Amino acid sequence: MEGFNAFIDRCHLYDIPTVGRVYTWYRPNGTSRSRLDRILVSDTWLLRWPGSRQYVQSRIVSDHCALVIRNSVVDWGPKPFRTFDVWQQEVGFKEVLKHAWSQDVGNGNSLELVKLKLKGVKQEVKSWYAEVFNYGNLKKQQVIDEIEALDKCDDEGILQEDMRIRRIQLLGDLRSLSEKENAMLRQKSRFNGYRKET
Amino acid sequence: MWNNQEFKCIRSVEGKRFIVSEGEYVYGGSDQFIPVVIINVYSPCSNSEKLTLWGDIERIVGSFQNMAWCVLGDFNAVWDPSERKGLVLKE
Repeated sequence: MEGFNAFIDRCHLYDIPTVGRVYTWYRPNGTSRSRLDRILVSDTWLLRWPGSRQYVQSRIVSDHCALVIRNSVVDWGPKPFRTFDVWQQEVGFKEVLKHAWSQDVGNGNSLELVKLKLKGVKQEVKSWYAEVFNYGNLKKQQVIDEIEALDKCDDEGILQEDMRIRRIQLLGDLRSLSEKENAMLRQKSRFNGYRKET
Repeated sequence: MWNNQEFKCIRSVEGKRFIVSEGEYVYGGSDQFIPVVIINVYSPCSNSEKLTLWGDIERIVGSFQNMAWCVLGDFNAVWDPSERKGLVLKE
């Protein structure tokens, strides 16, 4: 089990939510059942098809159930208000929140006002984070490029002491930028309903 | 095996316990596509063989970074005890 989990982690694989039954394999005499079959996807896949779900089919002749992957974009009605942990680590989040919340949303009963306020907050935070995210991506590429240039100097034997220190700093930056990205993806994949509480 | 209207298989490589299919997911008529890698696995029962298979897949996956790919099939393993009923885990 640990080996399997380590494999999933190392490959940056994501388990997608299941629809239908929980187990995919049944011992013919009915004494045991397991979830032996699954579909794991990469982060690029998940970003491309965020509604990916594995549908567990009925057991027919085999002792295994077939799996069907489908990207279902289902309208569940109004989406609940959720936040990402990474937002709170960004400078400026509080200010954006304050600004969005203090906007005048008109008149109505208090419940309606809260709903409109949350909606406004959502829109504002979303566009703010899109900017932060793009900037992060840009920065990440710059860091990668700079590290590569320094590595090249190192290969050629012309790496100065200050350049060596700079590279250590850049590697640290790269790690924290990647961690942020991973944290966001991890949270996203859980939001999609992964891991049913039993 | 593949529906060419939806998935154009460009290259397919067979391993001992897996098949890697590289192709294009076609949409919007036939002019748009997304490169996709699908790895089908059939995991052995023994733990040591499983580890070998996962190591193999890990290497393949490493060569397809930043691509939309999925690994699917019979892994003969669970990642949480709750995914198993009626059997005691050996590990």
